Amino acid sequence: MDDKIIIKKIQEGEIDCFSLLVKKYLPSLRLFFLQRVKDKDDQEDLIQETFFNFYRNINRFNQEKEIKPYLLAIASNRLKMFWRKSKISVSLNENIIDEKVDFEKDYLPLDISLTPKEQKIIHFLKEGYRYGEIGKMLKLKENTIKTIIRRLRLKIKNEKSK
Amino acid sequence: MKNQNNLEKKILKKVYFWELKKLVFNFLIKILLISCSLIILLTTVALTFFSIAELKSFDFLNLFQEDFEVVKKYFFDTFYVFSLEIPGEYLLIIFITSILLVFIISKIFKNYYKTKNKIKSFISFFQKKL
Repeated sequence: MDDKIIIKKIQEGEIDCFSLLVKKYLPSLRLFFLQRVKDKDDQEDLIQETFFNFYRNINRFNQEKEIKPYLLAIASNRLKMFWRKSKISVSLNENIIDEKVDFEKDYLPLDISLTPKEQKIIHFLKEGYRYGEIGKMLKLKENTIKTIIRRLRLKIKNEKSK
Repeated sequence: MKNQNNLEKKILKKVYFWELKKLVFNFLIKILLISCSLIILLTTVALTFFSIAELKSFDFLNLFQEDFEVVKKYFFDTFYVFSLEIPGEYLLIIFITSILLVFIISKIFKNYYKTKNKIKSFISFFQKKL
């Protein structure tokens, strides 16, 4: 059966005709996701979502247009969303930063001008407080403390390289 | 091949359940709207009728017992007086609810074949499943 007729029938409420479209375009969508997504379950989810999205918008679909490019456009949008969702966010590990710069050893011998806030942070770090605790004491966000420390670390590195 | 069939079934199942939900929701909404507007319409019509009957405005119908010439001469004047006695707010409510009712019913008739086809598809799909 021609795609146009199938689309028209689906728009008229014959949902079972959708299985014809699924059968026809499933291999090409499978291939599309196979090349881009490793996990098999994720591939299947994405294929399902693509077809479901296509069905949801089928009443707005222009019968004169080709189905495959439209489906692939939906698939690539789904894929973008999938990648955005699965982007791994790595939290800044305190230990990683600490092992790179030991403030007591590295900072003290160097002549670096520090702001009062930085001095306080270094003092608290030497006392063994964690970033979250320092943040609470100085009424700053933990991320701000991390940023200040990162800048300090860079200062120390630059000073050392001189 | 088996895997492909499974995936097909999953996709179709998702589509059918979504359609079924949509259909039931639309049906309930339409039933609710029709019953509400019918209740409002009937109540307003009854209230209008009673208020007109109280004012004895229906007396203008006696005009039709007269000769045709007399009816012809005084019809518009009498009808104008009658229209002034009808409560305007009630008429407005009747007008709006009637339009709403006509709109909903026409939509039901317009989608009749589509809904019928969908129900047929549901029956065949769920029969296959059972």
